[in-house]
Amino acid sequence: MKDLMTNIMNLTWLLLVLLGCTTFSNSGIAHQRYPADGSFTKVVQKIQPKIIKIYGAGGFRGLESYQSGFLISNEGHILTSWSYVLDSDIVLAVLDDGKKYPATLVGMDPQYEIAILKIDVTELPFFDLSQTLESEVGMKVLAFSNLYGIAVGNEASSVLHGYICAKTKLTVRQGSRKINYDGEVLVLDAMSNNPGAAGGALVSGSGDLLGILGKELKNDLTGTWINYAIPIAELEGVVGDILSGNERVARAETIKPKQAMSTQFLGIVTLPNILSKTPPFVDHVLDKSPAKEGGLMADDLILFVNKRRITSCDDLDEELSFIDQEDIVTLLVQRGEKLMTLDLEIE
Amino acid sequence: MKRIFKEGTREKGFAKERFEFGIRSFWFAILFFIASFVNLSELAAQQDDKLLQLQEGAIVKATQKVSPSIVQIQAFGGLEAVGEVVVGTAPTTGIVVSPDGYLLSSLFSFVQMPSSITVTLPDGQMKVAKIVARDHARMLILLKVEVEEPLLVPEFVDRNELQVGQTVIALGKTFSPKTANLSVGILSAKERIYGKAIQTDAKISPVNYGGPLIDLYGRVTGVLVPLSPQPAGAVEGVAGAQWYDSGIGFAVPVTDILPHLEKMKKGEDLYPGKIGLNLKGKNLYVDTAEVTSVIPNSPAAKAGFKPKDKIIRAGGITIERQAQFHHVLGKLYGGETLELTYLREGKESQVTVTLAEKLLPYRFPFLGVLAGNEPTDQSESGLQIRYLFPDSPAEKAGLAAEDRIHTIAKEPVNSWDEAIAILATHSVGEKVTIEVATKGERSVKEVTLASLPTTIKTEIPPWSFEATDLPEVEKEIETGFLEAKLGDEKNGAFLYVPKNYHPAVSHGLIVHLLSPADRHESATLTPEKLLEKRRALSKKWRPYCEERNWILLAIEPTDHRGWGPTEGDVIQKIVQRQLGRYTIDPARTLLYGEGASGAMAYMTGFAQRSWCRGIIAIEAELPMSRAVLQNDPIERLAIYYGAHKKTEETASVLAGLAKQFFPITEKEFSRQKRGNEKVTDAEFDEIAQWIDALGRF
Repeated sequence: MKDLMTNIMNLTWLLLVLLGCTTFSNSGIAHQRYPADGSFTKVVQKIQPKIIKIYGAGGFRGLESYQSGFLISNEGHILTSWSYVLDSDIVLAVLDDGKKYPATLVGMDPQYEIAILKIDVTELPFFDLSQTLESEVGMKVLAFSNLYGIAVGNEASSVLHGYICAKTKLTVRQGSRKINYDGEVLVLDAMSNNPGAAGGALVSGSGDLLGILGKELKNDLTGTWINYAIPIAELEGVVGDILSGNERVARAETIKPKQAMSTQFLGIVTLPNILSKTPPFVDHVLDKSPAKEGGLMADDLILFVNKRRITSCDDLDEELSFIDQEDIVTLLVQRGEKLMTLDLEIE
Repeated sequence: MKRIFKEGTREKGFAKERFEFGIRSFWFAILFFIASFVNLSELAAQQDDKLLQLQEGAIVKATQKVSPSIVQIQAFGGLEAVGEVVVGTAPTTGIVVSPDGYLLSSLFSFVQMPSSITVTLPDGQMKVAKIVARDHARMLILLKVEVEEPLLVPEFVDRNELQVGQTVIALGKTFSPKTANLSVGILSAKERIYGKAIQTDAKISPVNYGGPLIDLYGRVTGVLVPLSPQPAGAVEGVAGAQWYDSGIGFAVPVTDILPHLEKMKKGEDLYPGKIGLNLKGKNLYVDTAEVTSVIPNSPAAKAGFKPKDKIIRAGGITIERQAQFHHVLGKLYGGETLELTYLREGKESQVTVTLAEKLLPYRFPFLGVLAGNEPTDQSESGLQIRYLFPDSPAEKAGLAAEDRIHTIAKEPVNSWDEAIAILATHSVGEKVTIEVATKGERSVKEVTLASLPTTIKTEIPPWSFEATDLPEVEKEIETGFLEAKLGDEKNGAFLYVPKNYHPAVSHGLIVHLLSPADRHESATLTPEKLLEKRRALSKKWRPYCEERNWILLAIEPTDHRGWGPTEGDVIQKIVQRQLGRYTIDPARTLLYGEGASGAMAYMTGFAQRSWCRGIIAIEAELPMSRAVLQNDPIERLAIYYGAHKKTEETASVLAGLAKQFFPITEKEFSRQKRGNEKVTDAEFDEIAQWIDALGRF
């Protein structure tokens, strides 16, 4: 009798444990045994099925033939970075479980440097672009990408953690410009932007989509590599346009006006430009010129032209060449120990 | 479960155990089952979310607390290029240290004298800033702005109140004057760079140099700076910048600076404390602090130090190895005092030394000898004289070429290094004895040391040796054009080893920094084309390499616009590899560069004095710096400057070096040049003479 009872109880025990285990198998057993430790296991598990490893052209002379992307619709649309990798007859999209699908290009936008691919799947987890989170400096983030092509086959993508370091624009007119996108980016406190990472997903610590990882980029101002993502909120419109088939063309680079400003036109005579970096000190201003009317004086040092920082006579000429003669030129100048804002205008 | 099972086996019988086990497990399993519906994992996830929010909240709060005490700084003019070497132009960061407008920042952003500095206060007001003083030991700068409203001084915390492993946040205002950019990490170490800095794994780069490293309570512990244990070099404030974002970042503790702030506010610069001692041996972690030479008129000389004295205590700390001594000395500024205990002939003595800001410049003594190109580990004792300079002390004393010097001032001499080390303890005008052997016959001569001449007036013949005298080489050595690029670096590099290279002959190493325009390592080149380019680039050097036993190492910049400040490190790595591979004459290792590469050679040479004995800068603009460049009796450095015209700035750089008695050879080049060449054949021949005479003493 006792034996029978024991047996029944043991059997029930086994059954219940098995049942319990199945309930837990999706979330991972670790969670029930230990208290919260601030880790991201659940978030990572939730995100990984949405991340795509993309393989295409490249593979020679230091050009990697892979990048990253993520699912953004129930119909298999993938948001990724526009690059030479997609410039191939066959582009392969590999899911976190190793399933491979040929991807077709739906459309791209050269201004934002993004592209949308499509694979023939449905009912996969995806990021809902209308459900994104506003990011803040200091926010903990996770970056999912095919970093260095380390993850192969059914291996899930690489996850890096870090913080949002800053929100800023990366526009540089002077010198070489390496990205077309000129909106705000999220600068990251993580080594997220290495080969293969472009197109990866940036999510918050609680798994909300924040941005798409950008290409490798050197900040011309600091001369250092930067890690950044384009905020998803900036992309909503353009993604919609691509999906609805509205072709977009590259917005032209800043165009120099036909009738451009010049120092001569404004009546500014700077120090003779002998050195490659002669500081833009005003030698004298011409009588009855816009400069004279605007209050510019000899020995003023010009620091900004229309809020753009200039450091040499060459910069000054270059900057003025972007301004139409009809427009007002605002100068920030240093006179002795004072800073002054002067508006120069043709009457 | 484990516990239950154990109890059972130990204390109860088998059947009972099974029963007990069953009952308990039953209840446990039921609980387990119910719990799975409540979903414990969900609870944990919620807690994780809460933890995340708390963490983020703490970081944001700490940042917001300090942000009003951080300013954005922009320097105008002169900053884009330091001697044509490209550095960043981004705005940088500063920290308020007193309410009346004093700000601390990193020297990194002020390597050139900017024509204007503006500071944007957290409220958006832009102000003109003045440079008040520099700290040349910790690479900081003190700025002053005029303010109407008092500025908010942050709370400072001493490094001793922090613990390694604690969360720290690095802040900068590069991207915006209003909101600080941040990087989160931990405190990695509290004593680095000879005690001058604390270390963090937060990402430290030009985006936060000059900004604060804070703890989670919003207290400022240090000013973020690039630092390097290596000497600062010709341009201070950039050494260490190559480690940006590497996980190794440094901050200078603010509480170390505050006691010196009043001095800086008076406009007085702070300098590292100099003592004027050379210690025996080069291994800081093995060798004891035994004095080899005392620089005349230095604090050490005034304190009565003599060669062979052994320092055993410094500033209350026992000194067993040289590194410990450097740690004590490294924290001190010029003008501060240091208590030293030393051993002399077994007796302990104590002395207090007042450290100097600068040492009196050292003048190289001159015998008039050029040593032969024998390798340093040669078997024959003594040092062969290759050439005697006319009218030199040695010639007047009756020495002759091919004699062998055995002792100088009664100390044995078997290599160039040894000769230089002995001369370091003697000054110009002093009488020393030399023991020489002429065809095996020894004699002792007395000479009065002259001062090292900077111009080479005579023709130095190549060193002649009979190939038959040399031992047989065991294995074939590769000569001609060889690849020297490092696998993990982007800088292209090649080596030209003369066909007559022999490991028993000591060779000069010419490190030619190629001009940005001469970059030849295009990925599209065929091997034949590459070789053709390399032939053209080394055309002038090759005949000299064969004739005068030189190895040419050509290194190119990665960027077509010029050298980056971090590329000095790559040069060092490439050079170190070749130094270990061939028999290199320690007296003839030098850097050569034209234009922008000449400026790079100048900066690299001063930063890498452990191997570099000469700098040849052709048609280059030399960068001005407030760094105090001092002659070193052991780590000698000579400069050759050739140009058809030079800027005022370059002239004053050269004049400054000459005042410190650096051996400087200046040559006005002709304007008449063929094609795009910078040096005529005749001018090049003079340079060759200068190179061969580098080791003269």
